[in-house]
Amino acid sequence: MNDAVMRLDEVSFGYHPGEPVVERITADVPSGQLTAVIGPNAAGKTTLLKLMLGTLSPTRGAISLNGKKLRSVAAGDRAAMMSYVPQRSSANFAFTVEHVVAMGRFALPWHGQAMTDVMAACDLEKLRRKPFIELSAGQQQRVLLARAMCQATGDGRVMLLDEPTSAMDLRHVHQTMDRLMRLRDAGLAVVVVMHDLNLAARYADAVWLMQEGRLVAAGSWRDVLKPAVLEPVYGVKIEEMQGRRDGGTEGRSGEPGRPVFDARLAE
Amino acid sequence: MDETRTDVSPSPRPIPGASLKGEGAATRRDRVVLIALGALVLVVSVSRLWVGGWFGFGELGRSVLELRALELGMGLTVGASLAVGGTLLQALLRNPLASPYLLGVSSGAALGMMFNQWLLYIGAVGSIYIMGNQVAAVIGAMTSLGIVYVLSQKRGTIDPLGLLLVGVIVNAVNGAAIMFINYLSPRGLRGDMALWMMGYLDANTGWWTLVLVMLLTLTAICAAVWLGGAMDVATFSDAEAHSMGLNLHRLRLGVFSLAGLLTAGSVLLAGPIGFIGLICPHLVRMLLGPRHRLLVIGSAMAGAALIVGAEVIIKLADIGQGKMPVGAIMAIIGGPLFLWMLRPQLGRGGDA
Repeated sequence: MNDAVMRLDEVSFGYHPGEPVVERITADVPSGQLTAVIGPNAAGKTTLLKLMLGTLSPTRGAISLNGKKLRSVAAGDRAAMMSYVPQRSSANFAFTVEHVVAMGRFALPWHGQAMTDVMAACDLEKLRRKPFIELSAGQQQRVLLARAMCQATGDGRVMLLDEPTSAMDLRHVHQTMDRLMRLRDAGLAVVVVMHDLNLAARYADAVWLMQEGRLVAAGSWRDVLKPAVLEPVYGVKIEEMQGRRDGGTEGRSGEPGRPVFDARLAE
Repeated sequence: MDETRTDVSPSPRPIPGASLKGEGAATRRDRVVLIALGALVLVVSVSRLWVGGWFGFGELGRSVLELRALELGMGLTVGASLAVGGTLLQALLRNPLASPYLLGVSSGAALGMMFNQWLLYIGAVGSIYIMGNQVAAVIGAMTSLGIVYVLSQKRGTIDPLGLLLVGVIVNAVNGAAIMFINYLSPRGLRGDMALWMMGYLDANTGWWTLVLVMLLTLTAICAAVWLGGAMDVATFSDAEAHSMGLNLHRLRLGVFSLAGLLTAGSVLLAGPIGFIGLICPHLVRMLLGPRHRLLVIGSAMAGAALIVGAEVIIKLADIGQGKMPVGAIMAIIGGPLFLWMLRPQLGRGGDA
């Protein structure tokens, strides 16, 4: 049931000795679930994502992907299994949207059908030949998601996303989350760093709550997304909107009782 | 239903980026541009052989033609290697303003050669001279590039801005060392060096060196074309390139070595010539887009055509009795041209 495609074992990382950015994180990344990584600014969320991606190596501890030590997985195999969506892309040259999406297949066999499907799914057909760097931030995020989806077609097991909807309009936020839920349903482990608690509350299966480099809570959304757990970490007054008649909203999977939060500064 | 995990039986994994596939393939427009560039190279080459008159097939005619062919070969090789060197460095630094000249690679090669000349003058070297300049140029270019490479490493990755800064400093130090050697040299040698530092296609270099550098350049260009897909991916952030399955470290080493060799070769033939490595990739990118496989081929042809074309103009207009160093002309034409190309970026703030 809970087959972990990725395992983090006592993972620590710091740029300078004595100043850990990520500290002793042990967690499993389950397949077929959407895991939201939440926490205040500078909690180490993005660093954790880069450790899982393998761009950074843990100063202590180990990460395994599909039962093998992450570092020992060949680049091509890793790319087939794991894809990544950054919050922003640092493109410097005017590649067209379709070039950028096609790059997802760089280390993998070409897959024309995946390309066509993904362009349609991410609403990119009209932008096909536009230079990526001339798009709005939200449009760029759609392209980056499409690239990762193109890459994940076939052998994809894990997708790591860093605030993938931060610049999107409302429709595309939910469209994107919907795409991610489908990936999840197809068996991928989807790990999303996000800031919007209500978005996490609406879509996440599992939630990792980070604070100052540590994983202070991890588990099902029911256990983590509670004012009592969130308040001390965020340092604000958080209220679950119980006063509403429906007592919350429905999750995408149709489960009722998903919370909606309101926050204000504590006096 | 299961849209994301369709088919794809595990097929043998191709060498990354080794084939033109999917959206990376050349369009009809790309082919037209490449053919046009090829035609341009042909036209300027024929003009270069022709300009200055025709002396028949006698003794005189043959030796004139041989000299022109030698200078033509040098021009083509130098132009192509500088343009491709610039393309490679720009991809690596994710910065369209990088070039072998700007990063101190050209001046490094020049310093190596000058140092070798000076050693020769003071009699410190003699018998090993046969390979002296070649080796010295390569050592100089690679040392400069090595210093730039090592000093700009940050946490195991290259910081593009830091690299540019280090490059500018290395360039300045090389320039100072060149002045130093220049001053220590006797007047005659100093004159030769000064001329050569302007970027001068010197026919005294001879066929043997030309063929050597030409082969090196062709090999390096082929390797650069082969690495084109990887360079495309490498223009995105480290994390993205890594996630797409690129071994950035290996690619950087490879591309750095190629850029260093190409620059050393060009300096060996013609001294340091600026702007080619900056302008050609830039111009060709406007025509062909940023995909490196096409860009490398296009830049090579544009660079070759630009140098030889400038030589033709020098001969035709009889600038400095037709012997004006092509490097001086390139700088005079190249500077304003580059400013014009930068126009859209100037005054646009730091968002580019």
